[in-house]
Amino acid sequence: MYTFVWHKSFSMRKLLFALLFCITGSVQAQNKQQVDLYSLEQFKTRVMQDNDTLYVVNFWATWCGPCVKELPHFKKLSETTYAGKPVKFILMSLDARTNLIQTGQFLDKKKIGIEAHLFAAGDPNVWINQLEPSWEGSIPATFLYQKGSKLAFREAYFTSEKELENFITNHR
Amino acid sequence: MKKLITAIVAVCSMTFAARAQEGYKPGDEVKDFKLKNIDGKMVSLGGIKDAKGYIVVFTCNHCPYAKAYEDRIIALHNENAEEGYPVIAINSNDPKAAPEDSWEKMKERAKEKEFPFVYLFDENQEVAKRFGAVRTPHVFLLQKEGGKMKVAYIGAIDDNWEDANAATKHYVQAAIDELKDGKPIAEAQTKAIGCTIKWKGK
Repeated sequence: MYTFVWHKSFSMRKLLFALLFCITGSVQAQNKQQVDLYSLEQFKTRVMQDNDTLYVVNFWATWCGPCVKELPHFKKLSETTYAGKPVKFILMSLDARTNLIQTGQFLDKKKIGIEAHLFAAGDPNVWINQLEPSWEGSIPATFLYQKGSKLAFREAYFTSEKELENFITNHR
Repeated sequence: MKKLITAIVAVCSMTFAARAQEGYKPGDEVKDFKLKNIDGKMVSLGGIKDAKGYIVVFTCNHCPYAKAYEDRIIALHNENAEEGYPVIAINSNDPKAAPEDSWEKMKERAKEKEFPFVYLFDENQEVAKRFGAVRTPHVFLLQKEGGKMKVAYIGAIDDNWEDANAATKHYVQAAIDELKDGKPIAEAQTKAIGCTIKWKGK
């Protein structure tokens, strides 16, 4: 009898733990993709570091068709060719600040899993000219940074993984 | 070696020339065009009487940036049309790539928003190419000068697409005010983010 009660409570506890795990697990799954607001200064500090890491930075937005189309190429390369290599893929969203949460949910749904920020840097006329004077302001746009300086810039989308890989290898 | 240098210089200058032809710059003379308005009538710059200039805005229906600026484009027209600077809105997107930007949808959108300006369809995309418009919205402020139409300003409407009330620099209005006052334009070209114009066959 005693054993039975103990056993019952044990399994109850186990059940509770399992339940708790499920809840936290699902909450975590929902917020897997952390997207935060990023200023121009934060951006520069992040990508212009004095190390050997190559930063592949993609400016995009959830509403931009060609941007969304090329996201899987970034995901795939980060998981295959450049997995474990000193190459860091970073997504800079140009969505509205009020869409911060939706941007994270969007990336979650697409299972992109790449470091992502929402660029909230004020007047584009200021930061576009600072980052790349030849940039007309259309997205997607992709930058390569290494050792604190810009190696390459491209204002067009990548039709394939191979095209993105070539862009990276040609400029390293 | 000398030949090599000459070749490099030649190639460089060719690339430069090709780039220079990629669209208008402030000060360039604008060639008139004729495009179909949402009411079916053909519109050309020369056909609009009493205009001192035009606020040409490459825009569209579907783009969130263009949508965010719709009310501000209407306000620009209401503020300046009577004084000789009406808005000419142009949609150059390929409806195959952006179904929301079809001729029918343009008419619907103009009706919904009661556009007080013409909304032209650049079906073969030639006007966008000639201007060098690449995104929506993309503004080209034009000014008549001795019978010629010249580009006075190219770029953004203001410095805050998300919140009109938080904008601190009203680039287009500032340029128009300077034109009205006969002053040189302080900032004749600005950069902005927008949706890429959806080109045919791309």
